[in-house]
Amino acid sequence: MANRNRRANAPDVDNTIDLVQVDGLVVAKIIKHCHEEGSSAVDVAQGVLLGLVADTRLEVTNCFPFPKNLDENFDEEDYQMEMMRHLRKVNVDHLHVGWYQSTQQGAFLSTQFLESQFTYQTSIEESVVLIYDPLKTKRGFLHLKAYRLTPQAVALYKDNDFGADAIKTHHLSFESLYQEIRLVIHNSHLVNALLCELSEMVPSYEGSQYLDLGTASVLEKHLRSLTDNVDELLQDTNKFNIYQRQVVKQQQEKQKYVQKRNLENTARQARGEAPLPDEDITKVFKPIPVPPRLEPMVLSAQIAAHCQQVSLFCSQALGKLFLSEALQQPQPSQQTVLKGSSKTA
Amino acid sequence: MALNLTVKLHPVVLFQIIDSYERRNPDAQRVIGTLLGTSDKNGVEVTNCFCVPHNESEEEVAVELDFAKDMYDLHRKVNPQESIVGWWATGTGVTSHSALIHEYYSRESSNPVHITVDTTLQDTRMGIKAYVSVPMGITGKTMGCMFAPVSVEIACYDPETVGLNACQKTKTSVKRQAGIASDLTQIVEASQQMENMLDTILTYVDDVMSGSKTADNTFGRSLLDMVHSVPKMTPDEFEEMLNSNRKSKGIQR
Repeated sequence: MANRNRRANAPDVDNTIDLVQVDGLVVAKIIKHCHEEGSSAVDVAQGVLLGLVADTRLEVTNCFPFPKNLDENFDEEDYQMEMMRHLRKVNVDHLHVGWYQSTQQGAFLSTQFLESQFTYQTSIEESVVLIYDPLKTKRGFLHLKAYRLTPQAVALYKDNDFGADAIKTHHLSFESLYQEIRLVIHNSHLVNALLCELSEMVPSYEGSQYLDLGTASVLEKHLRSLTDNVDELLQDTNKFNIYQRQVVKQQQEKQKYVQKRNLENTARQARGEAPLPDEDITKVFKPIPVPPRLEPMVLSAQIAAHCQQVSLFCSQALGKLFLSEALQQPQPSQQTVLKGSSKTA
Repeated sequence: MALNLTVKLHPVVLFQIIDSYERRNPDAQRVIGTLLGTSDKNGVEVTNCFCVPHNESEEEVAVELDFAKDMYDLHRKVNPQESIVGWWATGTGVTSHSALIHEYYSRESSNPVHITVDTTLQDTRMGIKAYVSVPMGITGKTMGCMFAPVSVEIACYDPETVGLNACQKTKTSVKRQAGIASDLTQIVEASQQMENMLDTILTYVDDVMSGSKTADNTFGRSLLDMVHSVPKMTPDEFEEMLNSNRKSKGIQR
Protein backbone atom coordinates (compact mmCIF):
# COMPACT_ATOMS: atom_id res chain seq x y z
CA MET A 1 0.00 0.00 0.00
CA ALA A 2 1.17 3.56 0.64
CA ASN A 3 4.90 3.86 1.10
CA ARG A 4 4.94 7.58 1.68
CA ASN A 5 7.66 8.95 3.92
CA ARG A 6 6.56 10.23 7.24
CA ARG A 7 6.54 13.94 7.91
CA ALA A 8 9.52 15.32 9.80
CA ASN A 9 7.64 15.84 13.06
CA ALA A 10 7.14 12.08 13.62
CA PRO A 11 10.66 10.77 13.85
CA ASP A 12 9.85 7.70 15.91
CA VAL A 13 7.71 6.00 13.26
CA ASP A 14 9.44 5.37 9.96
CA ASN A 15 6.86 3.47 8.03
CA THR A 16 3.27 4.09 7.20
CA ILE A 17 0.87 1.47 8.40
CA ASP A 18 -0.09 -0.82 5.55
CA LEU A 19 -1.90 -3.56 7.44
CA VAL A 20 -4.42 -3.49 10.23
CA GLN A 21 -4.54 -6.72 12.20
CA VAL A 22 -7.68 -7.14 14.24
CA ASP A 23 -8.11 -9.78 16.92
CA GLY A 24 -11.14 -12.04 16.77
CA LEU A 25 -12.11 -10.66 20.17
CA VAL A 26 -12.39 -7.13 18.76
CA VAL A 27 -14.55 -8.34 15.87
CA ALA A 28 -16.84 -10.15 18.30
CA LYS A 29 -17.09 -7.14 20.61
CA ILE A 30 -17.83 -4.68 17.82
CA ILE A 31 -20.51 -6.95 16.39
CA LYS A 32 -22.13 -7.38 19.80
CA HIS A 33 -22.09 -3.68 20.64
CA CYS A 34 -23.49 -2.54 17.29
CA HIS A 35 -26.14 -5.25 17.35
CA GLU A 36 -27.30 -4.29 20.81
CA GLU A 37 -27.42 -0.59 20.02
CA GLY A 38 -30.14 -1.35 17.53
CA SER A 39 -30.45 0.05 14.05
CA SER A 40 -31.64 3.57 14.80
CA ALA A 41 -31.02 5.69 11.76
CA VAL A 42 -29.73 8.72 13.60
CA ASP A 43 -27.32 7.49 16.20
CA VAL A 44 -24.30 5.44 15.44
CA ALA A 45 -22.55 3.10 17.79
CA GLN A 46 -19.00 4.19 18.53
CA GLY A 47 -16.13 2.93 20.54
CA VAL A 48 -12.42 3.06 21.14
CA LEU A 49 -9.76 0.72 19.77
CA LEU A 50 -6.78 -0.34 21.83
CA GLY A 51 -3.68 -2.07 20.64
CA LEU A 52 -0.11 -1.54 19.56
CA VAL A 53 2.03 -0.71 16.55
CA ALA A 54 4.51 -3.29 15.25
CA ASP A 55 6.58 -2.21 12.20
CA THR A 56 4.09 -1.48 9.46
CA ARG A 57 1.35 -3.38 11.18
CA LEU A 58 -1.26 -1.90 13.44
CA GLU A 59 -2.51 -4.54 15.85
CA VAL A 60 -5.88 -3.93 17.43
CA THR A 61 -6.14 -6.22 20.43
CA ASN A 62 -9.09 -4.87 22.37
CA CYS A 63 -11.84 -2.32 22.23
CA PHE A 64 -14.58 -0.86 24.38
CA PRO A 65 -17.82 0.86 23.48
CA PHE A 66 -18.84 4.42 24.18
CA PRO A 67 -22.17 4.90 25.84
CA LYS A 68 -24.67 7.13 24.11
CA ASN A 69 -24.76 10.48 25.85
CA LEU A 70 -28.27 10.38 27.17
CA ASP A 71 -27.24 12.01 30.40
CA GLU A 72 -26.23 15.69 30.42
CA ASN A 73 -23.73 15.21 33.21
CA PHE A 74 -21.98 12.41 31.45
CA ASP A 75 -18.32 13.07 30.91
CA GLU A 76 -16.79 11.23 27.98
CA GLU A 77 -13.22 11.89 29.01
CA ASP A 78 -13.87 10.54 32.47
CA TYR A 79 -15.47 7.36 31.22
CA GLN A 80 -12.64 6.77 28.82
CA MET A 81 -9.97 7.36 31.45
CA GLU A 82 -11.70 5.11 33.97
CA MET A 83 -12.16 2.32 31.46
CA MET A 84 -8.58 2.46 30.29
CA ARG A 85 -7.27 2.55 33.83
CA HIS A 86 -9.22 -0.56 34.73
CA LEU A 87 -8.25 -2.38 31.57
CA ARG A 88 -4.61 -1.60 32.20
CA LYS A 89 -4.92 -3.40 35.53
CA VAL A 90 -5.82 -6.59 33.72
CA ASN A 91 -2.88 -6.19 31.33
CA VAL A 92 -4.82 -5.03 28.30
CA ASP A 93 -2.81 -2.91 25.84
CA HIS A 94 -3.52 0.68 26.69
CA LEU A 95 -2.35 2.44 23.57
CA HIS A 96 -5.24 4.20 21.93
CA VAL A 97 -4.99 3.27 18.26
CA GLY A 98 -8.23 4.53 16.85
CA TRP A 99 -11.97 4.30 17.01
CA TYR A 100 -14.79 2.33 15.44
CA GLN A 101 -18.20 3.32 14.21
CA SER A 102 -21.23 1.55 12.88
CA THR A 103 -22.85 2.79 9.72
CA GLN A 104 -26.09 2.47 7.77
CA GLN A 105 -25.76 1.19 4.21
CA GLY A 106 -22.16 2.26 4.15
CA ALA A 107 -22.97 5.97 4.47
CA PHE A 108 -20.38 7.10 6.98
CA LEU A 109 -18.67 10.02 5.26
CA SER A 110 -19.51 13.41 6.67
CA THR A 111 -17.59 16.48 7.71
CA GLN A 112 -18.04 15.42 11.32
CA PHE A 113 -16.52 12.05 10.62
CA LEU A 114 -13.52 13.56 8.86
CA GLU A 115 -12.99 16.02 11.67
CA SER A 116 -13.03 13.31 14.32
CA GLN A 117 -10.54 11.25 12.37
CA PHE A 118 -8.40 14.34 11.93
CA THR A 119 -8.36 14.97 15.70
CA TYR A 120 -7.35 11.37 16.26
CA GLN A 121 -4.65 11.44 13.64
CA THR A 122 -3.08 14.61 14.98
CA SER A 123 -2.79 13.19 18.48
CA ILE A 124 -1.85 9.66 17.43
CA GLU A 125 -0.12 9.36 14.10
CA GLU A 126 -1.17 5.83 13.23
CA SER A 127 -4.79 5.91 14.29
CA VAL A 128 -7.37 4.34 12.05
CA VAL A 129 -11.13 4.18 12.06
CA LEU A 130 -12.94 0.89 11.64
CA ILE A 131 -16.25 1.11 9.90
CA TYR A 132 -18.67 -1.74 10.55
CA ASP A 133 -21.94 -2.20 8.67
CA PRO A 134 -24.37 -4.15 10.88
CA LEU A 135 -27.11 -4.52 8.25
CA LYS A 136 -24.79 -5.96 5.66
CA THR A 137 -23.30 -8.33 8.23
CA LYS A 138 -26.77 -9.45 9.16
CA ARG A 139 -27.36 -10.36 5.52
CA GLY A 140 -24.33 -12.61 5.76
CA PHE A 141 -21.34 -10.58 4.55
CA LEU A 142 -19.04 -9.34 7.27
CA HIS A 143 -18.34 -5.69 6.49
CA LEU A 144 -15.45 -4.31 8.49
CA LYS A 145 -13.04 -1.85 6.90
CA ALA A 146 -10.20 0.32 8.15
CA TYR A 147 -9.71 3.88 6.91
CA ARG A 148 -7.54 6.85 7.61
CA LEU A 149 -7.12 10.35 6.17
CA THR A 150 -4.52 10.86 3.48
CA PRO A 151 -1.61 13.15 4.38
CA GLN A 152 -2.95 15.81 2.00
CA ALA A 153 -6.30 15.78 3.77
CA VAL A 154 -4.58 16.13 7.12
CA ALA A 155 -2.58 19.11 5.81
CA LEU A 156 -5.78 20.69 4.52
CA TYR A 157 -7.50 20.32 7.88
CA LYS A 158 -4.47 21.76 9.63
CA ASP A 159 -4.72 24.93 7.57
CA ASN A 160 -8.45 25.01 8.25
CA ASP A 161 -9.07 26.75 4.95
CA PHE A 162 -11.54 25.00 2.70
CA GLY A 163 -11.74 27.42 -0.17
CA ALA A 164 -11.31 26.24 -3.75
CA ASP A 165 -7.74 27.58 -3.99
CA ALA A 166 -6.55 25.81 -0.86
CA ILE A 167 -7.90 22.55 -2.19
CA LYS A 168 -6.06 23.05 -5.46
CA THR A 169 -2.75 23.76 -3.72
CA HIS A 170 -3.04 20.56 -1.72
CA HIS A 171 -3.87 18.58 -4.85
CA LEU A 172 -6.91 17.19 -3.15
CA SER A 173 -9.85 15.61 -4.88
CA PHE A 174 -12.75 13.60 -3.54
CA GLU A 175 -10.82 10.43 -4.26
CA SER A 176 -7.86 11.39 -2.14
CA LEU A 177 -9.67 12.38 1.04
CA TYR A 178 -9.27 9.05 2.76
CA GLN A 179 -7.67 5.73 2.02
CA GLU A 180 -8.59 2.20 2.93
CA ILE A 181 -6.05 0.00 4.68
CA ARG A 182 -5.98 -3.76 4.32
CA LEU A 183 -7.50 -5.51 7.29
CA VAL A 184 -6.98 -9.07 8.50
CA ILE A 185 -8.44 -10.97 11.40
CA HIS A 186 -5.85 -12.63 13.58
CA ASN A 187 -6.29 -15.19 16.33
CA SER A 188 -3.93 -16.74 18.82
CA HIS A 189 -3.47 -20.52 19.00
CA LEU A 190 -5.74 -20.83 22.01
CA VAL A 191 -8.49 -18.95 20.22
CA ASN A 192 -8.07 -21.29 17.27
CA ALA A 193 -8.65 -24.17 19.67
CA LEU A 194 -11.77 -22.38 20.90
CA LEU A 195 -12.92 -21.97 17.30
CA CYS A 196 -12.60 -25.71 16.78
CA GLU A 197 -14.83 -26.25 19.82
CA LEU A 198 -17.31 -23.65 18.64
CA SER A 199 -17.51 -25.11 15.16
CA GLU A 200 -18.82 -28.26 16.81
CA MET A 201 -21.21 -26.46 19.10
CA VAL A 202 -22.69 -24.11 16.50
CA PRO A 203 -24.44 -25.96 13.67
CA SER A 204 -22.77 -25.39 10.32
CA TYR A 205 -25.91 -24.33 8.51
CA GLU A 206 -26.12 -21.22 10.69
CA GLY A 207 -24.89 -18.09 9.03
CA SER A 208 -25.74 -19.14 5.50
CA GLN A 209 -28.20 -16.31 5.01
CA TYR A 210 -25.88 -14.76 2.46
CA LEU A 211 -27.30 -17.24 -0.03
CA ASP A 212 -30.65 -15.47 0.14
CA LEU A 213 -31.84 -14.41 -3.30
CA GLY A 214 -34.03 -11.48 -2.26
CA THR A 215 -32.38 -8.26 -3.39
CA ALA A 216 -34.96 -5.62 -4.19
CA SER A 217 -35.20 -4.01 -0.77
CA VAL A 218 -31.46 -3.67 -0.32
CA LEU A 219 -30.98 -2.22 -3.78
CA GLU A 220 -33.81 0.22 -3.10
CA LYS A 221 -32.21 1.49 0.10
CA HIS A 222 -28.85 1.95 -1.56
CA LEU A 223 -30.33 3.82 -4.47
CA ARG A 224 -32.38 6.02 -2.18
CA SER A 225 -29.32 7.18 -0.24
CA LEU A 226 -27.51 7.61 -3.54
CA THR A 227 -30.22 9.87 -4.94
CA ASP A 228 -30.32 11.91 -1.73
CA ASN A 229 -26.61 12.51 -1.95
CA VAL A 230 -26.75 13.37 -5.62
CA ASP A 231 -29.52 15.90 -4.90
CA GLU A 232 -27.42 17.59 -2.24
CA LEU A 233 -24.41 17.63 -4.51
CA LEU A 234 -26.50 19.25 -7.22
CA GLN A 235 -27.59 22.01 -4.86
CA ASP A 236 -24.01 22.67 -3.84
CA THR A 237 -22.87 22.74 -7.45
CA ASN A 238 -25.58 25.28 -8.25
CA LYS A 239 -24.42 27.44 -5.38
CA PHE A 240 -20.86 27.33 -6.67
CA ASN A 241 -21.98 28.23 -10.20
CA ILE A 242 -23.92 31.21 -8.88
CA TYR A 243 -20.86 32.30 -6.94
CA GLN A 244 -18.70 32.09 -10.02
CA ARG A 245 -21.14 34.14 -12.05
CA GLN A 246 -21.28 36.73 -9.30
CA VAL A 247 -17.50 37.00 -9.24
CA VAL A 248 -17.38 37.61 -12.99
CA LYS A 249 -20.08 40.23 -12.75
CA GLN A 250 -18.30 41.96 -9.92
CA GLN A 251 -15.06 42.07 -11.90
CA GLN A 252 -16.86 43.78 -14.77
CA GLU A 253 -18.44 46.30 -12.45
CA LYS A 254 -15.10 47.03 -10.85
CA GLN A 255 -13.58 47.71 -14.24
CA LYS A 256 -16.41 50.02 -15.20
CA TYR A 257 -16.07 51.88 -11.91
CA VAL A 258 -12.34 52.38 -12.35
CA GLN A 259 -12.86 53.61 -15.90
CA LYS A 260 -15.52 56.05 -14.79
CA ARG A 261 -13.25 57.37 -12.06
CA ASN A 262 -10.40 57.90 -14.44
CA LEU A 263 -12.67 59.73 -16.87
CA GLU A 264 -13.93 61.93 -14.08
CA ASN A 265 -10.42 62.61 -12.87
CA THR A 266 -9.26 63.70 -16.32
CA ALA A 267 -12.37 65.86 -16.66
CA ARG A 268 -11.71 67.45 -13.31
CA GLN A 269 -8.07 68.06 -14.13
CA ALA A 270 -9.15 69.70 -17.34
CA ARG A 271 -11.39 72.01 -15.33
CA GLY A 272 -8.58 72.60 -12.82
CA GLU A 273 -10.25 70.91 -9.81
CA ALA A 274 -8.52 68.53 -7.49
CA PRO A 275 -8.91 64.89 -8.48
CA LEU A 276 -11.20 62.70 -6.47
CA PRO A 277 -9.45 60.88 -3.67
CA ASP A 278 -8.45 57.36 -4.43
CA GLU A 279 -10.96 55.12 -2.83
CA ASP A 280 -10.26 51.65 -1.85
CA ILE A 281 -12.09 49.59 -4.40
CA THR A 282 -12.58 46.71 -2.05
CA LYS A 283 -14.69 48.92 0.21
CA VAL A 284 -17.07 49.75 -2.59
CA PHE A 285 -17.25 46.28 -3.97
CA LYS A 286 -17.23 43.88 -1.09
CA PRO A 287 -15.53 40.56 -1.95
CA ILE A 288 -18.05 37.75 -2.28
CA PRO A 289 -17.32 34.92 0.17
CA VAL A 290 -16.15 31.72 -1.46
CA PRO A 291 -18.51 28.86 -0.70
CA PRO A 292 -16.58 26.14 1.14
CA ARG A 293 -15.67 23.27 -1.12
CA LEU A 294 -15.32 20.64 1.58
CA GLU A 295 -18.98 19.67 1.73
CA PRO A 296 -19.34 18.92 -2.01
CA MET A 297 -16.08 16.96 -1.92
CA VAL A 298 -17.32 14.85 0.96
CA LEU A 299 -20.60 14.30 -0.87
CA SER A 300 -18.79 13.17 -4.02
CA ALA A 301 -16.66 10.78 -1.99
CA GLN A 302 -19.80 9.39 -0.36
CA ILE A 303 -21.48 8.94 -3.74
CA ALA A 304 -18.41 7.11 -5.05
CA ALA A 305 -18.49 4.83 -2.00
CA HIS A 306 -22.21 4.16 -2.53
CA CYS A 307 -21.64 3.25 -6.18
CA GLN A 308 -18.92 0.84 -5.22
CA GLN A 309 -21.21 -0.77 -2.67
CA VAL A 310 -24.00 -1.16 -5.20
CA SER A 311 -21.70 -2.74 -7.77
CA LEU A 312 -20.31 -5.20 -5.20
CA PHE A 313 -23.82 -6.06 -4.14
CA CYS A 314 -24.95 -6.63 -7.71
CA SER A 315 -21.99 -8.86 -8.54
CA GLN A 316 -22.79 -11.28 -5.75
CA ALA A 317 -26.54 -11.15 -6.41
CA LEU A 318 -25.95 -11.97 -10.07
CA GLY A 319 -23.69 -14.83 -9.05
CA LYS A 320 -26.49 -16.28 -6.94
CA LEU A 321 -28.98 -15.83 -9.79
CA PHE A 322 -26.75 -17.79 -12.16
CA LEU A 323 -26.44 -20.51 -9.53
CA SER A 324 -30.19 -20.82 -9.23
CA GLU A 325 -30.51 -20.82 -13.02
CA ALA A 326 -28.29 -23.88 -13.17
CA LEU A 327 -30.71 -25.72 -10.93
CA GLN A 328 -33.60 -24.92 -13.24
CA GLN A 329 -32.15 -26.15 -16.49
CA PRO A 330 -34.57 -28.80 -17.79
CA GLN A 331 -32.81 -32.17 -18.18
CA PRO A 332 -34.20 -35.57 -19.18
CA SER A 333 -33.44 -37.31 -15.85
CA GLN A 334 -33.17 -36.18 -12.23
CA GLN A 335 -29.66 -37.53 -11.83
CA THR A 336 -28.40 -35.51 -14.76
CA VAL A 337 -29.91 -32.43 -13.18
CA LEU A 338 -27.80 -32.94 -10.08
CA LYS A 339 -24.66 -33.67 -12.11
CA GLY A 340 -25.34 -30.68 -14.36
CA SER A 341 -25.70 -28.26 -11.46
CA SER A 342 -22.60 -29.54 -9.72
CA LYS A 343 -20.61 -28.99 -12.94
CA THR A 344 -21.81 -25.46 -13.61
CA ALA A 345 -21.59 -24.29 -10.00
CA MET B 1 -32.76 -23.48 42.32
CA ALA B 2 -33.84 -25.27 39.20
CA LEU B 3 -31.34 -27.67 37.77
CA ASN B 4 -32.90 -27.74 34.34
CA LEU B 5 -31.39 -24.35 33.59
CA THR B 6 -29.71 -23.85 30.26
CA VAL B 7 -26.87 -21.41 30.10
CA LYS B 8 -26.68 -19.66 26.74
CA LEU B 9 -23.23 -18.34 26.09
CA HIS B 10 -22.35 -15.84 23.42
CA PRO B 11 -19.02 -16.37 21.64
CA VAL B 12 -17.75 -12.94 22.66
CA VAL B 13 -17.70 -14.12 26.29
CA LEU B 14 -15.42 -17.04 25.41
CA PHE B 15 -13.14 -14.83 23.33
CA GLN B 16 -12.83 -12.44 26.26
CA ILE B 17 -12.12 -15.25 28.73
CA ILE B 18 -9.30 -16.62 26.60
CA ASP B 19 -7.85 -13.18 26.05
CA SER B 20 -7.84 -12.52 29.80
CA TYR B 21 -6.18 -15.89 30.38
CA GLU B 22 -3.47 -15.07 27.84
CA ARG B 23 -2.82 -11.75 29.53
CA ARG B 24 -2.74 -13.08 33.08
CA ASN B 25 0.05 -12.16 35.48
CA PRO B 26 2.98 -14.58 35.29
CA ASP B 27 2.37 -16.03 38.75
CA ALA B 28 -1.35 -16.57 38.35
CA GLN B 29 -2.61 -20.08 37.73
CA ARG B 30 -6.06 -19.08 36.73
CA VAL B 31 -8.08 -15.96 36.10
CA ILE B 32 -11.60 -15.13 37.18
CA GLY B 33 -14.12 -12.51 36.21
CA THR B 34 -17.74 -11.46 36.21
CA LEU B 35 -20.41 -12.62 33.79
CA LEU B 36 -23.02 -10.17 32.56
CA GLY B 37 -26.27 -10.94 30.89
CA THR B 38 -29.94 -11.52 31.43
CA SER B 39 -31.73 -14.30 33.21
CA ASP B 40 -35.24 -15.61 33.22
CA LYS B 41 -36.87 -18.68 34.70
CA ASN B 42 -35.80 -21.00 31.91
CA GLY B 43 -32.24 -20.04 31.56
CA VAL B 44 -29.52 -17.54 31.67
CA GLU B 45 -28.16 -15.71 28.64
CA VAL B 46 -24.61 -14.52 29.09
CA THR B 47 -23.76 -11.73 26.69
CA ASN B 48 -20.68 -10.08 28.15
CA CYS B 49 -17.95 -10.54 30.70
CA PHE B 50 -14.86 -8.86 32.09
CA CYS B 51 -11.82 -9.99 34.02
CA VAL B 52 -11.36 -9.18 37.71
CA PRO B 53 -7.86 -9.24 39.20
CA HIS B 54 -7.46 -11.66 42.07
CA ASN B 55 -4.79 -13.37 44.12
CA GLU B 56 -5.00 -16.97 45.01
CA SER B 57 -2.79 -19.12 47.20
CA GLU B 58 -3.20 -22.34 49.14
CA GLU B 59 -4.76 -20.71 52.16
CA GLU B 60 -6.59 -17.69 50.94
CA VAL B 61 -8.10 -15.94 48.01
CA ALA B 62 -8.44 -12.20 47.52
CA VAL B 63 -10.59 -10.64 44.84
CA GLU B 64 -10.61 -6.95 44.04
CA LEU B 65 -14.26 -6.27 44.66
CA ASP B 66 -14.00 -2.51 44.11
CA PHE B 67 -12.62 -3.13 40.66
CA ALA B 68 -15.50 -5.47 39.94
CA LYS B 69 -18.01 -2.90 41.09
CA ASP B 70 -16.44 -0.09 39.06
CA MET B 71 -16.21 -2.16 35.89
CA TYR B 72 -19.81 -3.23 36.28
CA ASP B 73 -20.89 0.41 36.58
CA LEU B 74 -18.94 1.36 33.48
CA HIS B 75 -20.50 -1.49 31.53
CA ARG B 76 -23.94 -0.53 32.73
CA LYS B 77 -23.52 2.89 31.17
CA VAL B 78 -23.29 1.29 27.75
CA ASN B 79 -25.92 -1.37 28.18
CA PRO B 80 -28.25 -0.92 31.16
CA GLN B 81 -30.01 -4.21 30.44
CA GLU B 82 -27.01 -6.31 31.37
CA SER B 83 -26.81 -7.42 34.97
CA ILE B 84 -24.43 -9.68 36.85
CA VAL B 85 -25.51 -13.27 36.29
CA GLY B 86 -22.51 -15.09 37.69
CA TRP B 87 -18.79 -15.48 37.35
CA TRP B 88 -16.27 -17.38 35.29
CA ALA B 89 -12.92 -19.01 35.94
CA THR B 90 -10.36 -20.77 33.80
CA GLY B 91 -9.19 -24.23 34.65
CA THR B 92 -11.01 -27.43 35.41
CA GLY B 93 -13.04 -28.30 38.40
CA VAL B 94 -14.27 -26.37 41.33
CA THR B 95 -12.08 -25.63 44.33
CA SER B 96 -12.92 -24.56 47.85
CA HIS B 97 -11.89 -21.05 46.90
CA SER B 98 -14.54 -21.14 44.21
CA ALA B 99 -17.17 -21.63 46.91
CA LEU B 100 -16.06 -18.44 48.61
CA ILE B 101 -16.07 -16.46 45.39
CA HIS B 102 -19.45 -17.91 44.50
CA GLU B 103 -20.79 -16.71 47.81
CA TYR B 104 -19.73 -13.16 47.01
CA TYR B 105 -21.47 -13.35 43.67
CA SER B 106 -24.65 -14.69 45.22
CA ARG B 107 -24.83 -11.41 47.09
CA GLU B 108 -24.66 -9.55 43.78
CA SER B 109 -27.21 -11.61 41.93
CA SER B 110 -29.77 -14.25 42.73
CA ASN B 111 -28.69 -17.74 41.73
CA PRO B 112 -25.43 -16.96 40.00
CA VAL B 113 -24.00 -19.43 37.52
CA HIS B 114 -20.37 -20.41 37.46
CA ILE B 115 -18.67 -21.15 34.17
CA THR B 116 -15.32 -22.85 33.80
CA VAL B 117 -13.29 -22.89 30.63
CA ASP B 118 -10.48 -25.39 30.49
CA THR B 119 -7.68 -23.43 28.85
CA THR B 120 -5.11 -26.10 29.67
CA LEU B 121 -6.82 -28.31 27.07
CA GLN B 122 -6.95 -31.42 29.20
CA ASP B 123 -8.26 -34.40 27.25
CA THR B 124 -7.50 -32.39 24.10
CA ARG B 125 -10.79 -30.51 24.50
CA MET B 126 -11.50 -27.04 25.75
CA GLY B 127 -14.16 -27.98 28.25
CA ILE B 128 -16.78 -25.32 28.75
CA LYS B 129 -18.89 -26.20 31.75
CA ALA B 130 -21.48 -24.38 33.79
CA TYR B 131 -22.53 -24.94 37.39
CA VAL B 132 -25.08 -23.67 39.86
CA SER B 133 -24.71 -23.91 43.57
CA VAL B 134 -27.05 -26.31 45.31
CA PRO B 135 -27.18 -26.42 49.07
CA MET B 136 -26.66 -29.86 50.50
CA GLY B 137 -26.28 -31.37 53.83
CA ILE B 138 -28.38 -32.41 56.74
CA THR B 139 -30.99 -29.88 57.71
CA GLY B 140 -30.26 -28.37 61.05
CA LYS B 141 -26.52 -28.86 60.78
CA THR B 142 -24.00 -26.76 58.83
CA MET B 143 -25.05 -26.61 55.23
CA GLY B 144 -22.55 -27.12 52.49
CA CYS B 145 -22.98 -26.45 48.87
CA MET B 146 -22.50 -28.53 45.80
CA PHE B 147 -21.76 -27.25 42.35
CA ALA B 148 -24.20 -29.05 40.13
CA PRO B 149 -23.50 -29.00 36.40
CA VAL B 150 -26.02 -27.47 34.03
CA SER B 151 -26.09 -27.61 30.26
CA VAL B 152 -24.32 -25.03 28.13
CA GLU B 153 -25.38 -23.85 24.70
CA ILE B 154 -23.80 -21.37 22.37
CA ALA B 155 -26.25 -18.66 21.39
CA CYS B 156 -25.45 -16.16 18.68
CA TYR B 157 -27.07 -13.13 17.22
CA ASP B 158 -27.18 -13.41 13.40
CA PRO B 159 -24.27 -11.04 12.84
CA GLU B 160 -22.24 -12.91 15.45
CA THR B 161 -22.52 -16.12 13.43
CA VAL B 162 -21.26 -14.27 10.40
CA GLY B 163 -18.32 -12.84 12.36
CA LEU B 164 -17.58 -16.28 13.78
CA ASN B 165 -17.53 -17.83 10.32
CA ALA B 166 -15.11 -15.17 9.16
CA CYS B 167 -12.85 -15.90 12.13
CA GLN B 168 -12.93 -19.65 11.47
CA LYS B 169 -10.58 -19.17 8.54
CA THR B 170 -7.69 -18.31 10.85
CA LYS B 171 -7.50 -21.97 11.84
CA THR B 172 -6.16 -22.98 8.46
CA SER B 173 -3.84 -20.08 7.70
CA VAL B 174 -0.14 -20.32 8.55
CA LYS B 175 0.11 -16.84 10.01
CA ARG B 176 -3.25 -17.30 11.72
CA GLN B 177 -4.60 -14.44 9.67
CA ALA B 178 -7.77 -14.27 7.65
CA GLY B 179 -8.69 -11.44 5.36
CA ILE B 180 -12.34 -10.54 5.04
CA ALA B 181 -13.53 -12.01 1.76
CA SER B 182 -15.41 -9.84 -0.69
CA ASP B 183 -19.06 -10.65 -1.34
CA LEU B 184 -18.52 -12.53 -4.59
CA THR B 185 -15.65 -14.58 -3.15
CA GLN B 186 -17.95 -15.75 -0.39
CA ILE B 187 -20.54 -16.89 -2.91
CA VAL B 188 -17.83 -18.73 -4.85
CA GLU B 189 -16.65 -20.48 -1.69
CA ALA B 190 -20.21 -21.39 -0.79
CA SER B 191 -20.85 -22.89 -4.21
CA GLN B 192 -17.63 -24.92 -3.92
CA GLN B 193 -18.82 -26.20 -0.57
CA MET B 194 -22.16 -27.12 -2.11
CA GLU B 195 -20.35 -28.92 -4.91
CA ASN B 196 -18.41 -30.98 -2.37
CA MET B 197 -21.55 -31.79 -0.45
CA LEU B 198 -23.34 -32.82 -3.64
CA ASP B 199 -20.41 -35.06 -4.59
CA THR B 200 -20.66 -36.83 -1.21
CA ILE B 201 -24.38 -37.34 -1.70
CA LEU B 202 -23.86 -38.65 -5.22
CA THR B 203 -21.24 -41.18 -4.10
CA TYR B 204 -23.67 -42.36 -1.42
CA VAL B 205 -26.52 -42.69 -3.91
CA ASP B 206 -24.29 -44.55 -6.37
CA ASP B 207 -23.18 -46.92 -3.64
CA VAL B 208 -26.75 -47.65 -2.64
CA MET B 209 -27.77 -48.18 -6.28
CA SER B 210 -24.91 -50.61 -6.88
CA GLY B 211 -25.77 -52.43 -3.69
CA SER B 212 -22.57 -51.84 -1.73
CA LYS B 213 -24.42 -49.88 0.93
CA THR B 214 -27.78 -50.58 2.47
CA ALA B 215 -30.43 -48.01 1.82
CA ASP B 216 -31.59 -45.98 4.76
CA ASN B 217 -35.20 -44.82 4.54
CA THR B 218 -34.77 -41.63 6.53
CA PHE B 219 -31.84 -40.62 4.34
CA GLY B 220 -33.88 -41.32 1.25
CA ARG B 221 -36.75 -39.21 2.52
CA SER B 222 -34.51 -36.24 3.31
CA LEU B 223 -32.93 -36.51 -0.14
CA LEU B 224 -36.38 -36.47 -1.68
CA ASP B 225 -37.25 -33.39 0.39
CA MET B 226 -34.10 -31.70 -0.80
CA VAL B 227 -34.82 -32.36 -4.46
CA HIS B 228 -38.38 -31.16 -4.04
CA SER B 229 -37.26 -27.97 -2.34
CA VAL B 230 -36.03 -26.62 -5.66
CA PRO B 231 -38.92 -24.28 -6.55
CA LYS B 232 -41.02 -25.56 -9.40
CA MET B 233 -41.30 -23.02 -12.15
CA THR B 234 -41.92 -23.33 -15.84
CA PRO B 235 -38.85 -22.36 -17.87
CA ASP B 236 -40.66 -19.25 -19.13
CA GLU B 237 -41.53 -18.04 -15.66
CA PHE B 238 -37.98 -18.56 -14.54
CA GLU B 239 -36.53 -16.82 -17.58
CA GLU B 240 -38.76 -13.85 -16.91
CA MET B 241 -37.78 -13.62 -13.23
CA LEU B 242 -34.12 -13.93 -14.15
CA ASN B 243 -34.29 -11.25 -16.82
CA SER B 244 -36.20 -8.78 -14.66
CA ASN B 245 -33.64 -9.21 -11.90
CA ARG B 246 -30.80 -8.79 -14.37
CA LYS B 247 -32.38 -5.64 -15.76
CA SER B 248 -32.70 -4.15 -12.32
CA LYS B 249 -29.00 -4.78 -11.94
CA GLY B 250 -28.31 -3.09 -15.24
CA ILE B 251 -27.21 -5.99 -17.44
CA GLN B 252 -29.13 -7.24 -20.47
CA ARG B 253 -28.67 -10.70 -21.80
